[in-house]
Amino acid sequence: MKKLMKISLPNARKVASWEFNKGIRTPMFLILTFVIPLLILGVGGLEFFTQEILQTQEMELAILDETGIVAEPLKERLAETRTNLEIFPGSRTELEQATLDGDFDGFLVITTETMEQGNFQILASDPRNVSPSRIRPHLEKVITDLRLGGVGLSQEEIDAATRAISLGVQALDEEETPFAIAQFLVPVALGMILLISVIFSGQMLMYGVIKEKRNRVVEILLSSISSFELLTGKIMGYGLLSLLQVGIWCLAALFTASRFLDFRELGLTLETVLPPVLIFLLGYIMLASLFAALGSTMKEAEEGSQAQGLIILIPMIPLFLSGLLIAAPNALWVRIFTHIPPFIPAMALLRMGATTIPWWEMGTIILALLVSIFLFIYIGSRIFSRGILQYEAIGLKDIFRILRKKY
Amino acid sequence: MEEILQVENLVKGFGDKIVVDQVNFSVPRGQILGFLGPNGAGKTTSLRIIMGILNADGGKVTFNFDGRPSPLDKSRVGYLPEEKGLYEEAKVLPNLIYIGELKGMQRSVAREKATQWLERVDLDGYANQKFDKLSRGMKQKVQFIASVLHDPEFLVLDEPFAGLDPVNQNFFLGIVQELKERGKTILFSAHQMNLVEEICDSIVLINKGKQVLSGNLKEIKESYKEYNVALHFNPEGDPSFLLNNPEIDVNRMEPGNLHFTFRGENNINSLVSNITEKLNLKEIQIATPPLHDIFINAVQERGEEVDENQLA
Repeated sequence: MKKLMKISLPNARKVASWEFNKGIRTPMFLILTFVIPLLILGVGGLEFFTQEILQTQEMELAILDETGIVAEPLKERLAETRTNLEIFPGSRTELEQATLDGDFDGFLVITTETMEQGNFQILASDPRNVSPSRIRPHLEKVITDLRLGGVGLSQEEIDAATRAISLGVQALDEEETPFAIAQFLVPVALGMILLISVIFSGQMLMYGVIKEKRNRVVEILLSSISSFELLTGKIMGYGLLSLLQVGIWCLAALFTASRFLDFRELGLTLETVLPPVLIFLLGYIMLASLFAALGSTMKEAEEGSQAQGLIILIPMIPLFLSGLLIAAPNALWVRIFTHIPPFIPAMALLRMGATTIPWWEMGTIILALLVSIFLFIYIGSRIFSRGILQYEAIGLKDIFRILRKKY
Repeated sequence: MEEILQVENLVKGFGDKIVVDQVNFSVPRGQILGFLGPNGAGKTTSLRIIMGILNADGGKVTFNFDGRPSPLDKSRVGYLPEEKGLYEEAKVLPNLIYIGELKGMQRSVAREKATQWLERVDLDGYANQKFDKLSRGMKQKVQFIASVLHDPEFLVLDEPFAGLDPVNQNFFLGIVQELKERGKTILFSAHQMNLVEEICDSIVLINKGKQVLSGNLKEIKESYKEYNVALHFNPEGDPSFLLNNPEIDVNRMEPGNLHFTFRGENNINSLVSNITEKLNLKEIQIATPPLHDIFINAVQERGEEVDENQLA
């Protein structure tokens, strides 16, 4: 074991640097890294573009107010918007003709009956050119004010009665710092990114290990460095690749999101970002070492792909249980599963989004992650070094034999 | 003479099959040791154990780099595996630089040495070619460079001549001899015994995992007291005195030509004197038996079988 564990960081770093430089030039990496951000930017940009179009397009409406009390206050409310409301002085027939002639996109008829029923219709020559949602809140406010005024309330009383309410949650000991969206958003987003990046780079890592066994270069490498150094270096190299990839994706996502969000409102602080990032990094290394260990048991890349399909499901199980998990983030079963290797990263990140994990438990989670990383690399490097001369895939029986055998 | 490597009672099995069984030998510093035997004899497994790639089930491997026993220092050993391969998609020069770095070389030094070696083996025009685009012989040369790039004092070559054409075989034999002249110690395995016997100082012969014979090649050959003799003489001469000699086995006889094997305790010089007296000789050739024959004899003397199809 001592012999196996003998690790020279410079050697692992050289392997990492080689794998990084090799991986960054592969078509698969380039496509995944740059096509996905383009999609993010494309979809985000399209949405932004369509919203801009909708918001900038002016809407010409007319109103025929038989009651004489709605048109003026509604026109006043719409004055600051892109909906132009014209109070029509003529008859309904004339208004219909004017609308059909294209003078208006649509018109609204207010009668005593519609006021009583609260049922209003915009009549349009082409309903697709009219967006009722742009009128509705303003009309609702005017009608509500009129109804409340009708029962004798003053404008001040009406304003007081219709004032919007808000409901928030604040921790007792954190009077000054209310709940920040980042506390939920960062861990959950990182959990998703973790699983996506593990699917891609874990696959590259597994294929890398299988390919290295197949082209026999591994015998040269193991005559220079230990299998532990080799596997550690590979995980570091692919980890850096993955971080670069995730970084590019995040930048693209943040750039797109900045069109819609004010990041200052999210409450991003070192305290909200650092713990989930730490779990993300350690979780990535743990899952990558699991994939490397699996790759060392396989013969063909196709076999790796099929096995990975199944294996990737294991760390994702917490996502399927996220409803239960968020409802009871500190339940005993949740705490236990947060310490069981394949589930640790997703469980911990989801819990961090739902609750504040006590510092001592964060410590045990990090310890469990570190122990798992060590164990997976250790087991992987043993299988790797012992399995290289085996042309066939290594079965469970072989794995137990390799692990039992004295080094 | 100081030994750079000592292998004692090496044992290795895969499942129920013992593939290396009590192998013992040592490699004196500055010499070439040929680890010879048919395919499947256990040579590669033994070399992998020596290189720390496989673990032995029994026995001991000790290196002696600085005058005292020490474990394997991978940076001081060069290794050319039997199953050769580098990164197929990477270019030749980066492949070599990477291997050099793993052996502890500075990147710039590795680049410089790799370039020099590529020139030396006439592959300087292929430095930026992808490894998988090279021919088999070229790949073998690049692989060889990877094993010697860091200028190791001890070189382990597993079947370095396998799959090479005669021109490249001679080329590599020349390089191995040149490395020896530069003071390197070389342990190599081969199954083409007649090809490599010229360059070996000592040999270890192995068959089905068991050591058959080992020692200084010259001494082994002399101890065999066996010579292959070819005579070309005046056809009127009578070689019957040779045919009656119990120490002689005639291999081929025709008027004026006689090929025989001499096995005997008596010195061959007295036989040669006798021949020159009685026959009008035009030509005489005397050769010690080839390693191939020594191997076959040694195996048969042990009552074992050898698969000659696995011997070149």
